[in-house]
Amino acid sequence: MSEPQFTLDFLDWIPWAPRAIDTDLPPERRAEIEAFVEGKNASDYLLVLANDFDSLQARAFVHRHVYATEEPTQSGYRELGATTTSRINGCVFCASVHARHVANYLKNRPLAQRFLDQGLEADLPVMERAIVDVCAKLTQEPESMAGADLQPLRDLGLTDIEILDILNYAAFFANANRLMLTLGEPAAQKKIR
Amino acid sequence: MTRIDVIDALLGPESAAAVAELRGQKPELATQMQDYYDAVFEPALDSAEALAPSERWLIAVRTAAHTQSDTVVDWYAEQARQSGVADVDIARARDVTTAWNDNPRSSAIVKHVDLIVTHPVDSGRADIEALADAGLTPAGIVALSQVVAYVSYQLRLVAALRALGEPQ
Repeated sequence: MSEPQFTLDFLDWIPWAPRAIDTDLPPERRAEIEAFVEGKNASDYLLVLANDFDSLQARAFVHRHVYATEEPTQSGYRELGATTTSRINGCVFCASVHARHVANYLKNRPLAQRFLDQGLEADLPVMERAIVDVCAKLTQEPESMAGADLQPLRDLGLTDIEILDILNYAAFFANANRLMLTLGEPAAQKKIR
Repeated sequence: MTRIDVIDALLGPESAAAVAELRGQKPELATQMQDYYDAVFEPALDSAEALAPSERWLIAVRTAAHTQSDTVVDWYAEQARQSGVADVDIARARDVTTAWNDNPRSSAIVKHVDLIVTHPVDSGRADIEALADAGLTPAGIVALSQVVAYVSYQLRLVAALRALGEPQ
């Protein structure tokens, strides 16, 4: 198994399971699914998840979870949590999306690129380092998480709601990565954006 | 009607109380997490036909057993017991060193769960085909994936909240 190639580029996603709309569906279900995916990105991914529509719909609300704020720096930290989980799990698609968000919110594309290239060992500023470390622990050894692991973030001035915001999103990508990695695969984008 | 909040139940009374104020700052997020649980574990009839609730509880036990998330394992083991799953099947789900070989469907399910919990990056198109060959429909395959994905998230959210609730 070769090391996945992480990238900041936009990617497509090729499903391995049939899309719900290509299966035999009652008309009401079909209409419900078409309304849900309309205007959304990664629609093939959503259309595969739509084979179990109720869980897709409930999950969509959870995905929009924000505990702290939409303020750019905190959003960048939250996205770094998602990128950390995705980098560890090998989810090239999720990592590309969320590393782009890191680059945009923190106005630091070189940092996002370096983290994708070098992973957990990348040279990072002190706050980003502390976020990556605690999110890595949550991903790899959730049951050994303790209050002491949060101290570096508290010492750097993050509040508990901001820490929860980051950890919740990092945890959510344990979910997202497993769906994206196991129901299909990323591919270089063919269409021009 | 006040619904049970499974995250609070998994935290236990002491940790739940310690993070109640924190979680209470965004009450809708607790509700949405519980709604997602309900969608995964109390499926509508068509979804339950694709993957039975008893199979879902065992998949959840197995998922949490891989990270030794004991309180989460115990929770799902109890749900399995209450839905009539035999103790021997629950014990087997908890023991991640043991595969299941009694029928093609359950052995394919467990093999896939073990793969996507521990090495999701190594899964491929052939793994989905193996599930289909064992009789799972697309709805069943996605429901299985959602159970694993839900529990993988839930046990980490609980771990994070427990750490946040520790006395400083």
